[in-house]
Amino acid sequence: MAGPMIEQFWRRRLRHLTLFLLLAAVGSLWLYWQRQNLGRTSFPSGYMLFAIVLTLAAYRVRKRWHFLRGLGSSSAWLHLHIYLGFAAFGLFWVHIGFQWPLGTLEQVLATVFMLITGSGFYGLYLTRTYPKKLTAVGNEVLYEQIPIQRRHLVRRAEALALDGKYQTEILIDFIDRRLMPFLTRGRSFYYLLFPNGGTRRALLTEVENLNRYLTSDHQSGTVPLKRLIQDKDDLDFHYALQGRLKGWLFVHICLTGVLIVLAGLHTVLVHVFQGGV
Amino acid sequence: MSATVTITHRPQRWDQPFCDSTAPMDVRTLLEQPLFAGMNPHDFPKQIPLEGILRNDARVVDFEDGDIIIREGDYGSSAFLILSGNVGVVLKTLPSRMLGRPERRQRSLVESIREWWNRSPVAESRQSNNSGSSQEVSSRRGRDGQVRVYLQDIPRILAPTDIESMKAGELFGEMAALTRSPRSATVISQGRCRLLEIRWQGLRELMKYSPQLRQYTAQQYREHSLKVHLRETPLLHGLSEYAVDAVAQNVQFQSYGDFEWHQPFREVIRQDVNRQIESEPVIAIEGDYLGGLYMIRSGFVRVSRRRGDGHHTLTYLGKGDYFGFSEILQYANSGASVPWQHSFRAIGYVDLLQIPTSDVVQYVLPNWPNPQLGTKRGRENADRIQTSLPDQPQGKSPFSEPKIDLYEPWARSAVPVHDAAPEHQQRLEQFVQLRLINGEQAMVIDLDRCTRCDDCVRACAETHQGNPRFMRTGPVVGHHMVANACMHCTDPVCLIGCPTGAIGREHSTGVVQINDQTCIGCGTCSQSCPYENIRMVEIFDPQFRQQVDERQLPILKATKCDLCVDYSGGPACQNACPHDALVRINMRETDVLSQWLDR
Repeated sequence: MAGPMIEQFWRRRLRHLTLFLLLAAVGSLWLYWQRQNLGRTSFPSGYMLFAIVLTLAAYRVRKRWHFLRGLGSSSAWLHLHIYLGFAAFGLFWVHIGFQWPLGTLEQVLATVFMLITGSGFYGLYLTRTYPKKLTAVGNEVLYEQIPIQRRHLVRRAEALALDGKYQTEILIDFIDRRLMPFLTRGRSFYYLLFPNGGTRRALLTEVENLNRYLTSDHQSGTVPLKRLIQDKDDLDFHYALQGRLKGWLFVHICLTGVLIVLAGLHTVLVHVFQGGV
Repeated sequence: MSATVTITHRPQRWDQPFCDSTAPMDVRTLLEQPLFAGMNPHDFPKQIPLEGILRNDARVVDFEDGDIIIREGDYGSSAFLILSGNVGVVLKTLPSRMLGRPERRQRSLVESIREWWNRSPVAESRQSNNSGSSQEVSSRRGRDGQVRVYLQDIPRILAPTDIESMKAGELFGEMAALTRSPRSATVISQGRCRLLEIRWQGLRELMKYSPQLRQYTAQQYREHSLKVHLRETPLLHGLSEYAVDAVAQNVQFQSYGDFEWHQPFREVIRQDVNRQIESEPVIAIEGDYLGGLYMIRSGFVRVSRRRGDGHHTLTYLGKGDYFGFSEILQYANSGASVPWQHSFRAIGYVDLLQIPTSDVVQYVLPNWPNPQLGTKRGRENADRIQTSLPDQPQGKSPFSEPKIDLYEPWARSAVPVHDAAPEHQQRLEQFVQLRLINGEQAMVIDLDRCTRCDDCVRACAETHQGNPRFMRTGPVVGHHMVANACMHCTDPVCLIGCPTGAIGREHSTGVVQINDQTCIGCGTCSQSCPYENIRMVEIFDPQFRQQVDERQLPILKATKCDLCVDYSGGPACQNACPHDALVRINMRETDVLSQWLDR
């Protein structure tokens, strides 16, 4: 019962890259030929660029309307999106003649384009690296359920504080003064930008240091405290990374809308003032 | 210190009899039936008397002319004895619509767009509660109040040659009930008939303590199905009629494990791997005397080798696989006794056919190599495998550390003990331990590629009335998650006990589906699913008013993944994943599975 062969990623990447380079070479040769024959490359390159931008934006439409699945899988569209994104980046520089534009509208347009391209590259980096980091954490959690999970941790801490096994001033004080604020409060903006294990390590060290003030019976009470700190830190890590994975896409999509409007305006204007160029 | 105890009745097996006393039975009359009259009540233990079985594990059911008693393809959990009247076995496959199953047709793009445009903003909204009835299904209430699907105008649908009649005293449906396999034919009532429905628990006891019934059932199977099964087995292709007859006559039927394995499933999977392996019923143990050739009819078998004090799982086998052949071949070639080279254990429940070694030597080997295995495909396979193997040390028996077996296809995916990468080994062990091997369309998510964007969940929700049919949660094995989505199992235990047959497996696609129109929301399937992949949902009308019954209790429907069979382009979840992180895959196809997991 042999099933279909599963293609390995590197094979697919190689095939697509070869095809992309081939098409890019053909496009470049055509533009070069236009220039050699004293043709105007700004119009064909501009139209090509606009068409590519629209195709790139169409991916959002494909993703939103699932009944269009007959037009190809989302994964195939993403591949096309990535390679077209690279092509658009190259074509953009050809279009502006490798010089930053001088007009205000063109400068805004070019800036938005560069921001989209930058966010695209950043997104590519995020989507290729963050999943592994999230998996390494171990505790798989849905983004929408993180607040619920946090409340659950607080309840666990409250239950620990009320447990007779931990009824010692040292542990109660730690739970009240150090653990509860950590569990109930969100993390700093700096942490969301650069998630790190600093607070976790500091708190774990504090718990470790409490041992010298505890009897051997009470020392076992520090184990669930450590677990709580680790779980909360894992949740925060998920929150920061998953939030960023969602956030960059939001920015990328919003900028795309702005780019299409500005690019449309730019097209109209260049045609209106075509004779004056 | 004072301790208080509450003395209570210890739950007993027959606390909840099969018969709900709506149709009282005269057990004495039943005992006069030829089938039971031939049984010796003294053969039954005191705590499970024959009379008790009939009283508690059976019920009398009446059918009207044309009522469908069992439907081809359904998974039944009971057998029927005809008490009076006749029933007809339909020899041809009837259209799904006639059997109360919805006809499946994939939506066109225009239809999909129209559906999307007209979609309700309310999740799980239905026009009205129409459970139990459908315009496409002809149904009526029986005398016991149960809804029955019936065939209208039988002479127009079926020619006399399309039906084989069975008369009072005959038993049917026992093989599907005992082996948890799909019903092989539809059976309808010819005129009024009265049947005794015996649930599988009672049938199992009857089989255990009544040699007559055992003989009768075995004979029935030998006469009607076994020879076909043997001929369809690639290993036995090319056997003469005489050889097939002889082999069929000596085949032993064996079953191991708990038929209701899904009941203690959640406790079992929490056990340590070694404990779990040791608790599995042993079919054959490494080093023991060779018992013959075993062919798996249903269920799963773990293949392992001893390693230190533990057991190393090499692979798992399922329906259609066989084992013991290479040992018999070795024995035939050398003339010396060859013990089992591996251990074989039942995972859950397994049903086997055992062909004695002497029969294999006498009938199978002289016809082997055969056209199917011996010359073209078999030889090519053998050559390919042989060249991929490391050289065997001179003078060392290939069986001292079995690298591969050329004659048992499963051996190709069995990684030798010392060659197994630890992460692969752990993965295999966990797939078996969590019984994920049951999945024919399991949803596996590569967490190293999944960006947790939930596009898969959104796509599923958009395709299914605004409510996703799965949750992106589930057991994580290495960096792969097997999500809580219906796996369309090889052994779909969820199908057992559905009172209306609303949940069933579609023949053409193998997809396990719920007919929303005939689902009465009893939750039997949801409770039976060991993987918690079926959810009961409350339904609403398009104005967001909850649908409730006369007692103000919410109307429920069972929902689960249907693999988007109504839509072209495959499952929406897989199609929507931008990063190729999600796949629907058959866990039995170990080669393909390994390729995907190790991309």
